[in-house]
Amino acid sequence: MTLPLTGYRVLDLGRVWTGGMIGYILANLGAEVIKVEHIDNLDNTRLRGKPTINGIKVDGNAIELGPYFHNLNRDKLSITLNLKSPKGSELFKSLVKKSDIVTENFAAGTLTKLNLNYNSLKEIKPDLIMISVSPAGQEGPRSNFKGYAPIISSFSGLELLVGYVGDSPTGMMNFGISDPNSAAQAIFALIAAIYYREETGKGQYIDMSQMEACLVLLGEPIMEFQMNNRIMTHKGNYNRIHCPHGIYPCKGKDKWIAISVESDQAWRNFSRAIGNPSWASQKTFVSQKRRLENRHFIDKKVAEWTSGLLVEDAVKMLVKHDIAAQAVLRVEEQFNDPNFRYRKLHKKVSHPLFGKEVLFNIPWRMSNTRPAIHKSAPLLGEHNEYVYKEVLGISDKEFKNLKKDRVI
Amino acid sequence: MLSKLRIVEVGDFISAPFCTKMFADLGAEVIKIEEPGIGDSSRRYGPFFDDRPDKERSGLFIYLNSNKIGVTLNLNTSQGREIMGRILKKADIFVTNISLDQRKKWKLRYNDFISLYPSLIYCSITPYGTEGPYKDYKGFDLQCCAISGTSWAIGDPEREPLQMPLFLCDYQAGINGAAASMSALIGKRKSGKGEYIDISASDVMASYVGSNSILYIFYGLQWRRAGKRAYGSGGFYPYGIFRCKDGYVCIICRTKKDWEGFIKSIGHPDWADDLRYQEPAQIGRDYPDEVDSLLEPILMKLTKEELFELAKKWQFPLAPLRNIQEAIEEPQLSFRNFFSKVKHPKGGSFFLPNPPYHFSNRNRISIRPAPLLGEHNNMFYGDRLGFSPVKLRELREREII
Repeated sequence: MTLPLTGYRVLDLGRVWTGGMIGYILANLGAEVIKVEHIDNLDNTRLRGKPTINGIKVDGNAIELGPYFHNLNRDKLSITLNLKSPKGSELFKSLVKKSDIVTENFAAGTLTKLNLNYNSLKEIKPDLIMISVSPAGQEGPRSNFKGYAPIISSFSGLELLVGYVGDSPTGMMNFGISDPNSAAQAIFALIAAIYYREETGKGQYIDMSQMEACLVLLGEPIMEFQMNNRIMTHKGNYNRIHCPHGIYPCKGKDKWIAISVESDQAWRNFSRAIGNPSWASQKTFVSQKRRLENRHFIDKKVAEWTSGLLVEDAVKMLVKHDIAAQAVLRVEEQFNDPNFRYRKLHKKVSHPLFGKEVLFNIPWRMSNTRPAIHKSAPLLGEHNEYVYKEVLGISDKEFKNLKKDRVI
Repeated sequence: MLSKLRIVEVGDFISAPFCTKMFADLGAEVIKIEEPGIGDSSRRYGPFFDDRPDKERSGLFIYLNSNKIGVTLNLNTSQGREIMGRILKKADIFVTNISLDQRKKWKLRYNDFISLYPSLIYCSITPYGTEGPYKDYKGFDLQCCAISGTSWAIGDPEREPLQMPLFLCDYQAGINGAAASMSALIGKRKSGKGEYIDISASDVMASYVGSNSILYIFYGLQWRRAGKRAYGSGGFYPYGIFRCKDGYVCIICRTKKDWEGFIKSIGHPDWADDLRYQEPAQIGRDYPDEVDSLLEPILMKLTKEELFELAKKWQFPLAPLRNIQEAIEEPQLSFRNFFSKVKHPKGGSFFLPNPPYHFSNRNRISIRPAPLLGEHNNMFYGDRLGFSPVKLRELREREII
């Protein structure tokens, strides 16, 4: 089975989650992805210190041990290269000549300062495809905006929409949703550009803004504001139309079930599932509109029912009656969930220094061209010899000099 | 840029419609098929002008379905299904998120297609996937948040976990469906064959959570909700939402440099020299509430925008928690022409977002408004499929379209 991007070479200047993810998706789709770092300019995700397993620090060179780094850089090749040195810059350009795609997510203007932006690189490779993902875009009054994923989602209006009714906003501080959101949209755009090049022979530059990638998820509040001049705020676990809709406590500590009843038919099924209690058969609740008006009461009664049951049992009872219900899982529980196991969410690999580890497959189940993980992340500079000597044809002597001069 | 592509959508609500919207926004032809008289459920979701429900004036539908051709077709009838076959013969990609039961009734399962349209790319989006022990379970965005480990990490530690806002799981499923479909198109060039893509929204979110949670689990933290801050302040301090004079800001320091910039920006209070407050990692792990209270009186004197300016000056990561009005009035967006003015025949004039990526080799297309229910029936069935006006009238009378 030939993967779609077999034969493509990517120079991956990407960093951290967004940059790493764009690169690993290309690698798992068959491209040869060369990750470019330098000992003075490492990917930040290598710099979190030694990881711990069950409270004990893993022994070895910290920059090679990070499991977060491993997951984001699986199946890539690694070279070291000092882009700031003139010789390094020249080498990079030679590599561009032999590559198809350049990916990067530096702060806007970084590559321009180094004369390695698209306008410079397309002189060398006219059909180059290059993508730059930055917090706000390459140009404009806010192009210097920097920040981590929750900073970007705060700025875009998403975080204010998360919180308990009547409380101040809670936000999603643990979850940097802006990063994978940007990477997934970037991959779509990048593969569209590859498709276009295969048709026309033309490359291009893609300038993507993470802030805008968040805003395209905000269609509902954008329309509410324009139509009714109303500013949406957070609303707990409520839903405009489903009722009951929420996360209810089950038996035991910190066990919860997520239930959605989406229609009057579903409400009838739900009442049956919970044993047709008299409160649920009230005529008032037959219509969705009335249920929504009485949501506090309904939530209270539903919680009384769920509190007496183990979450697995409550889910089984509701699913049997075609109600949308699911346990709130801890991430550790993913491993034992039968659906995730069946669908191969996880991939076990072995890293030469870290040992056995679990990576996350790209969640695309495809009949012919399913992206595949083969190996964990490379060691720093592991492929210097291959890339510089074989791909670029540099002599042993010159290679030694480059190392001596810390160009690589 | 994708103008030669033809996408057919039998979709509902968000995931499949957003998936095909990504193609439509780059010029592909997207044919959205809706049930006559009923249509996509997002037509009944809103928001509506003056809160008056109207299937032609639902904000969510108008947003998600711009640039698409809208036709109606009754797939409950054999004639409707026969017409569907003619439409699919010319399609490159078929996208659907309707239930397996519904696909069976309408003969829209991949197995119904595979021999008839061997080069078709079939993109299915469902909450749990179409293969696996949960394939017949009903599920919405809330259930994806639950099973994926997302909700476990959102909310107050002693209260119920929270959902993500705005059906974000549905959007992520749609985005991954679009990327996978685009990849399958490239693969098809090599193999000549179409393929079946089975996207599970809960797989998508679980893989995101998986990636993110590694940062916690392997560094002495838990992937668990901790209120307005990351668990253990993410291993540093601060990392969370703080109240200020006129609202809230998000402050995240991950390096000593960030922390020093932050301390300088707030005028280097005396307590900052105290030995107890020298190690942000220690503060974040052991006594973040204490330092939060020390920060509170300082932050409450400053507005969101003042703090934002200080952060830029002193180079540490901070952003105001903007509401939607503040977010869309950001001058950077008009610089990048992020919004296009669109006039919808019944809905009025709006500013709709453009895609977040600019291609150098592509001219921006102007946005065509979302279709009225069955708006393009005459054009599509008449001009494209060659049905005569007599036939069209007959199909309408028999409620096939």
